[in-house]
Amino acid sequence: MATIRQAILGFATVPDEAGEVFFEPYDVKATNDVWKRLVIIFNDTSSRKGLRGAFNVPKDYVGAPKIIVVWTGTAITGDVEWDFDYRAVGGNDTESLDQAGTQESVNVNDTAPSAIHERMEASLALTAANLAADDTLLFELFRDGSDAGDTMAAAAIVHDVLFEYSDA
Amino acid sequence: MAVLTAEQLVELRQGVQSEGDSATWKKADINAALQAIEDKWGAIQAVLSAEVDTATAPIVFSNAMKKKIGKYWLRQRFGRGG
Repeated sequence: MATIRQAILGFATVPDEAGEVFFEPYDVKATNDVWKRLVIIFNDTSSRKGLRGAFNVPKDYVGAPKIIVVWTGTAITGDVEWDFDYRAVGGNDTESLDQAGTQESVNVNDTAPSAIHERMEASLALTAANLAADDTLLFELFRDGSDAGDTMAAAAIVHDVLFEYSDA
Repeated sequence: MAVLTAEQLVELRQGVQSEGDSATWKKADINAALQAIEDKWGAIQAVLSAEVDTATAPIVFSNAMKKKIGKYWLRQRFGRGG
């Protein structure tokens, strides 16, 4: 049995319409300006703002699902409150992709890097029985600025969002 | 003494953060600094207004004009890079 990670931000990725979550080239906030790839900025706000998307649960999925947020920042103190809301929809002509409400909402509080721009991983565990191979997993990843635990006075810079799971 | 709203504090914090500093402080620290400036501003504004009246006598600028003059002075004193 192996532990596998795959990136989940595909064509369906869209930030919320309030403008506090957005795509930006990394060199806008980076110091050395060498790696000018796109990152996703989650601004310091007093509200819960997110990034929406969807991905396919792999055929070899068995269990131990987690969402791994790879992020960094220009603050070296304070915490970020990450929330992940999702619904897994499966089958062929059996389940609606337009259901109201989430199946599960999970959260984790992660502390700022000890030095600016250091790679951080925030891990959010999902309920294994909620997912099945070939499901479409609809999600929204939030930074919850309304949570008292979100104290970092800087934008969170997301470099990747991964789905981790165990295979057969 | 006006209490800054959550929305005002967010806008002000984001402005401060746009300068690119490496933050060794938390949201609450910046909020406290901003509120301290807001709390003292009334008294400071009254002193400056009287000083301007003394300097420009017999002309007395309106409050709106003094505010405009002060705004542009602040910009050159504390603008980006200042």
